[in-house]
Amino acid sequence: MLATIRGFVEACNYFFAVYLIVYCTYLIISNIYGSIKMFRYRRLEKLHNVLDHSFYYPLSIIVPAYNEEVSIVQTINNLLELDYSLYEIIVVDDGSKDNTKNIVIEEFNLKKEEDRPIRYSVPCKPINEIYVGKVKNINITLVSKENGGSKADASNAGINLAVYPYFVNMDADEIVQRDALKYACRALLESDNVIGVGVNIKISNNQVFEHAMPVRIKMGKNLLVNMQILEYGRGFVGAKIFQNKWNMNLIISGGFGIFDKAAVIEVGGFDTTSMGEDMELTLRLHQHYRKNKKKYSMKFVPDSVCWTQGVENFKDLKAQRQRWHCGLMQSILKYKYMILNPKYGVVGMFMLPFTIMYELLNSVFVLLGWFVIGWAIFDNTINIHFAFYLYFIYFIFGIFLTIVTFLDKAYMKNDMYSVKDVFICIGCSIIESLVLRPYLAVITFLALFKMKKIAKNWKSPVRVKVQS
Amino acid sequence: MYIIWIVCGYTVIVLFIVLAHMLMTDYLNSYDKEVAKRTVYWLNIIKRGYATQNYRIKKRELKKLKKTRYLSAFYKIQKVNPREIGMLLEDNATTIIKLMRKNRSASEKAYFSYILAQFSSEYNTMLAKYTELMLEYIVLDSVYLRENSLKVLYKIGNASKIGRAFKTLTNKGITHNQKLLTDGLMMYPNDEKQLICHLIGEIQMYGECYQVAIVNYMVYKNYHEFDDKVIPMLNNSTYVDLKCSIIRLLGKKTCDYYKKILLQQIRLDENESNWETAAVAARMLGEYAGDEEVEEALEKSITARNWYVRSNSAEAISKIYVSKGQVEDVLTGEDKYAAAALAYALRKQGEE
Repeated sequence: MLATIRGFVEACNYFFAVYLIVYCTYLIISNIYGSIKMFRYRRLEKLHNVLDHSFYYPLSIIVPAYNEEVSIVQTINNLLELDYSLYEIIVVDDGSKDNTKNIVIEEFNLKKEEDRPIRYSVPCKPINEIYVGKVKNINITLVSKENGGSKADASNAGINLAVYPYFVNMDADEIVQRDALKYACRALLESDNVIGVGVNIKISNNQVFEHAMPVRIKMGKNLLVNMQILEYGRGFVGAKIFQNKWNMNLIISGGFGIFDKAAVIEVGGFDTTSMGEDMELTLRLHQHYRKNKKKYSMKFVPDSVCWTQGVENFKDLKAQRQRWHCGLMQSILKYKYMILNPKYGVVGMFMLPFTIMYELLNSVFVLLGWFVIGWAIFDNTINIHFAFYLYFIYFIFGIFLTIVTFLDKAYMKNDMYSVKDVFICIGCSIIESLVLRPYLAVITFLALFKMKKIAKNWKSPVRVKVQS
Repeated sequence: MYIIWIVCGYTVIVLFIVLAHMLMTDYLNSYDKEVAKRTVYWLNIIKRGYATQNYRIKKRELKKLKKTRYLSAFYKIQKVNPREIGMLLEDNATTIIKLMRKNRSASEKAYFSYILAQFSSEYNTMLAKYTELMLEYIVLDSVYLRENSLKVLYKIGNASKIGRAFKTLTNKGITHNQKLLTDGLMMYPNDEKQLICHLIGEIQMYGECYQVAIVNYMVYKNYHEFDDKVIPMLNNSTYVDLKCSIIRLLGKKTCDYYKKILLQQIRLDENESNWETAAVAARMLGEYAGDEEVEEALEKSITARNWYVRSNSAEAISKIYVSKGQVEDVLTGEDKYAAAALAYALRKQGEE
């Protein structure tokens, strides 16, 4: 028995060595590529290599809202500030129990539209009432519908009422930066086959905005929020730009994404049963277009920025991450036939297996690692010096990578940071690796076993008003 | 032990990335300052040219254009002194073309094209000297380069060169955004008839996106002299965007012949696969008020299964406002979807 465990631990050591090397290699390559690409964007801009035509792609902005009375007016007001010529705003009140609907009607002086025919192109719960109005020459539509129990259902209702050929899907607690659409639509101009555009999502807590533009960006006092700022920074720049290159972005964030309406209708809209409807839709689009050998691309535009609220306490963080993890698991299980299937190209052969190993099962491997260390200490077979060196070097590597991510801000439009912020970020990255990551490993591991319960008990985190 | 060395190596690489970052940031931050310094160089050349009334300069001096910052400085001066820079570009065209052909990345070529595209069509004699260079540039692998070079070609105002550009792009299998193309054609400074006449003459040689752009240009200009050349494409082409554009063009002018074509287009086939063209035709028929044939066709198409055909037919009916009895027929008829669409369209029309 002892020999078997020893053999297993030995095998684990080799596995972890390979696991770590592959991960570090990916991080290095994606970060180098991301940084070079961002530098290139800025340089191209200096050389006037840009296409700007904000009136070419009229957009329908869909804002699904459930119990959003605190933030909805501010969100719409920010949307009215957008530096874009032609768009409509569709707020979908998903049967809120609070005063979301009435607040929007009163604030924007909307009038009930009794007779509008609705084309149910994608499934959603029945739409009860429609209110319309115009502010600053922008059409605002409020859709009041039966609660569908998911954001996907509300988004589908918005798609059914969208007038324009492209739509934006976003959350109700966000600030879409004034220039976000302008930059995002460049991707549509540059290529004819773009069916989805993802943008750079940043954390809005602690930041100050004026007319939907950030005027003060800094790290705050809440460590959890700061750690999410780092996490989003890492997740949304290097890796996404790298994935862009190979058209293998597995998720156009539900926080803010632009989609070709016809393409989304063709695949049946958002899946109302999914907990990760954004990833599910992105995967379904990949699956559909690759299977049918149609030309397509889904782009990530780092200059287009949307600010979202980070959670401020561990309870909300736990609920959010467990839900995301279940959504990830659900989507991967649904499209398991794509894994290592050459028909689905780089998505099936690389990105999905990579996501399984380094996201879905990451928590399993972390816990396995702890077990191996524990066993080695118990068995007195651990080389303490070696383990310490390894951990220390990996730790330094992580800190440098965080700094690189932070330095990427220099290439971002309207982003800013101070020397103090760099030090806070180093401090946060240390605490993150000691506290947040082990915590996330445990809660995401537990999420693997209680998917149904998590789906049932999901409540959106408490919203706060952002300074604007 | 190897793993420690590997992770160590990676850490060193990341350290280098940090350093490279700093250098790249410094390059970007100091770019504008460096450009400002280099503007003096071009200012001196212009002053010299102004004094001697001769803008022909030495190749050695022009070689500076190969450097990005000098090119940016050149652009800065061009914004303030377009006349002088225009003369410099004209008098030294041969040398500059050689320089621009030789090296440069696509982004720098695109920048040079951008600078040329900033000149108004008054400078078309100068711009014309760069025609061949622009025709070479359009096929290179950069959408910015293509767009800027095409802009220069539009501004030159030579229809045959634009046609040649479209043909070249088509032969190379290169497509370009239809809306950008139509907008570009709108820049054409000379007689629009001459441009349309030339492009229509060889429209069959162009790719679909160029064909659509040309027809859309005719739609915007409301130009109908060559409609007979595009009408056959309604049957010959399989490209829906092109068909829709042609229908929009025909819808801009009301006459019996066009009405008949629109009435043909509104007819849906059994599985309604031609719904896109039928929907556009329905909307265009809204211009034929008081025409019984049209009223009859719209009354039929409002009951189509396809939502867009129904909705556009309702909109057209509300515009031509057929006799009250006929409206009532639809509103109180069995087809509730048709009734709903029409009631909504009538109310909207009333609001307008």
